[in-house]
Amino acid sequence: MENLLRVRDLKTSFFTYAGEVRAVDGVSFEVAVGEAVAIVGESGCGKSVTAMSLLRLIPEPGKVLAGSVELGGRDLLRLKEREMRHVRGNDISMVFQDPMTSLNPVLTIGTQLAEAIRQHQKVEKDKARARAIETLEMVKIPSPDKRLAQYPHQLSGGMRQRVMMAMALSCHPRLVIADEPTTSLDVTIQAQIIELLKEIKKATGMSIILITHNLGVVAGLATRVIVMYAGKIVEYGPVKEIYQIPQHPYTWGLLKSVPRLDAAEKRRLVPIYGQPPDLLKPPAGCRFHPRCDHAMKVCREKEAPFVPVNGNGEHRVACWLQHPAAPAVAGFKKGVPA
Amino acid sequence: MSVGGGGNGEILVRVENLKKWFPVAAAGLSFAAKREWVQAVDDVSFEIAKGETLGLVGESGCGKTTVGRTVARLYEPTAGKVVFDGQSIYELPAEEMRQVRRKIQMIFQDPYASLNPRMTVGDIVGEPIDINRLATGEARKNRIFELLETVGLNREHASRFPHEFSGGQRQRIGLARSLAADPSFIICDEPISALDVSIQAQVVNMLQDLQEKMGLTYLFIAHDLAMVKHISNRVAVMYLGKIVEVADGYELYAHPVHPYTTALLSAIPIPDPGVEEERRRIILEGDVPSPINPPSGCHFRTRCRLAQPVCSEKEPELVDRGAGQKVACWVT
Ligand SMILES: Nc1ncnc2c1ncn2[C@@H]1O[C@H](COP(=O)(O)OP(=O)(O)OP(=O)(O)O)[C@@H](O)[C@H]1O
Ligand SMILES: Nc1ncnc2c1ncn2[C@@H]1O[C@H](COP(=O)(O)OP(=O)(O)OP(=O)(O)O)[C@@H](O)[C@H]1O
Ligand code: SF4
Ligand code: SF4
Ligand SMILES: [Mg+2]
Ligand SMILES: [Mg+2]
Repeated sequence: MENLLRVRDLKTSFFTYAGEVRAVDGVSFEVAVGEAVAIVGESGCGKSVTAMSLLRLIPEPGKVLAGSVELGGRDLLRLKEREMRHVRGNDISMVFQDPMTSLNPVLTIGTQLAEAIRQHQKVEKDKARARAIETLEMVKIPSPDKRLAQYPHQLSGGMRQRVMMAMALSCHPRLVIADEPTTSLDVTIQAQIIELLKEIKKATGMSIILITHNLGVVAGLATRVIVMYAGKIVEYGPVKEIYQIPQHPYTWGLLKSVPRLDAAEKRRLVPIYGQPPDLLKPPAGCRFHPRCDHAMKVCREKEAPFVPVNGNGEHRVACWLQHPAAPAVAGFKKGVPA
Repeated sequence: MSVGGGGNGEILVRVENLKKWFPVAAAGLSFAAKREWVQAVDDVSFEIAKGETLGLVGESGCGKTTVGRTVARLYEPTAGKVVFDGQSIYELPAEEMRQVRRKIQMIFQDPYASLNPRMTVGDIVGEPIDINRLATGEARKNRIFELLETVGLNREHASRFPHEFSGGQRQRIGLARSLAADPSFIICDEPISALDVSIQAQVVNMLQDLQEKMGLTYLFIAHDLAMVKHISNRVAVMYLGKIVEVADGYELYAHPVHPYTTALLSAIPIPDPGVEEERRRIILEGDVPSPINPPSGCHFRTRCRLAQPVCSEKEPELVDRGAGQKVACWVT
């Protein structure tokens, strides 16, 4: 698969009065053309900051400190702001969690869509209107011509989220970053939106980065999954391997702490004890060690290297249990033949 | 009626034909205009056995919170009856209601908004003890410590303030506070929705442990059907102010009868790529209609794939289909 995006050793910090918050601390991954990659992890682990760093939209007092973000061979972190503006909207666009905060309440849907289209492409006013209707059709909004005259508050939550998606798609970007696009929506609407993303991906060949903490949503849409914990990627791999042979105790925890709808009998949930660390002073060694049932001496002292789980290197994990000298853990299957 | 593992069969809460309508603020000054109502809860009936958990699910705005608040008599009902432990609570005079209120507690989705930021955790937990004059002095203090320990916090936390705690810990504080009045029935309104998945499991396990230890009865409101199925003995599915199906959670998943239940179940993602690949979704078109003028007949008919002419003419009743499963549908 041809890579569209290649992120290397990305580091982003917030310089607050209390000190440096290392929100993203050395993150590397790729997104192939036409692929959906999911970023999962608990609140505060750095998912949104990762996405905002790719687009260079980090607010004060934050700063991208290091790394590279290559899109089609160009490092976005080195572009001039003017060139970057062109990238946002034309190459990469973003859908946010709460559509109400990103739609302008005093402008009609039509005005906002046409503006988004005209900002990035030189088209006549009535052409822009036709394109706006087209994009609303693409996201399956019924009677789109009537919707153009409506204001955001006149639409339901699911409909607003689809308008946001229409805006993001209006310029045919190569990559859409969807940051928790369904979190505030009902499951029925969530299913509509996910289904829609799948269809559009198939029809247009665009790539998607999907940020979520819902492992279920990921299972149906993503081809690859990135598991983040406390500003770092702890596991990374093809979706099936992440669910079938997860290697990191944090990934196990995420999978075991939610009940499955299709569970045939009651089993007690297995929580992850404690809570994620304060990124002002993350724990030494493996950042997960204070919550890990398998923590060893080495885990408290040294960070675990990010190692391949199997031969092809597609599935990687940062955990000392991978070390040949580590003790065996019950129920843990290490790797599969490549 | 069959009740699942938790209950011993004795009914603690019986809700009969409960209605809660809210008046709609009239637009303009037209006095002639007919008064309009949000029919938030419209003729809902259910029972909960002692020690049982009844789950209540449904899309946003279907009336779950209103059911919870009206059953707790935080809202006065428009019509209907709630019998709690043998007493018809809407008929009780103030003093007797105060005694009952102590037995019915509610915990909320947003643990932060429901805790007074200027009170210490000890005083927050102690407030119901004071209001109900359950203990004073040393005994009060010990009771507070005991409650904090019951929910997995410790006595040192008593002197701190809510903002010093994480979301999961705040939910524990809220729970300790509702336990302080020694309730028998707790209405949990989306108690875990705002929490991270790993913390959700901590809180759910604790709710289950407390139920076992103290014989509590729960009404568990949430929109996460997988979690509701996990924690409940029976699950009631609501749509636009009405209960459309009630059944044992596993039964409901294995044999959903109402078309809305079927659609709702099929919308829920399962964390397993193999299963997801094979699944065929029923995508519900459109949005939930307004509860101000809900569709005639069956409220679900505007989105139902199986709707027949009869569905718009007459409202289907919740009918027993055997094995404790009740369904309100003309067709299925
Ligand atoms: N403007 C800011 N100032 C200071 N710290 C910030 C700021 N924005 C984010 N952070 C910190 O960066 C870290 C990562 O935040 P981020 O928003 O990426 O988390 P997330 O994984 O998206 O969480 P969520 O699931 O809650 O959206 C957090 O610890 C957060 O406190
Ligand atoms: N105090 C009120 N005054 C007027 N209308 C109300 C009031 N409370 C609720 N409603 C309306 O009643 C209906 C049911 O609301 P309710 O809060 O019970 O839904 P819910 O199922 O709890 O939804 P959610 O999942 O979003 O919490 C909604 O249409 C709501 O707008
Ligand atoms: S490195 Fe050690 S502490 Fe970290 S996840 Fe692996 S076993 Fe647990
Ligand atoms: S009564 Fe009719 S409209 Fe309502 S759920 Fe049944 S088939 Fe559908
Ligand atoms: Mg975020
Ligand atoms: Mg509610």
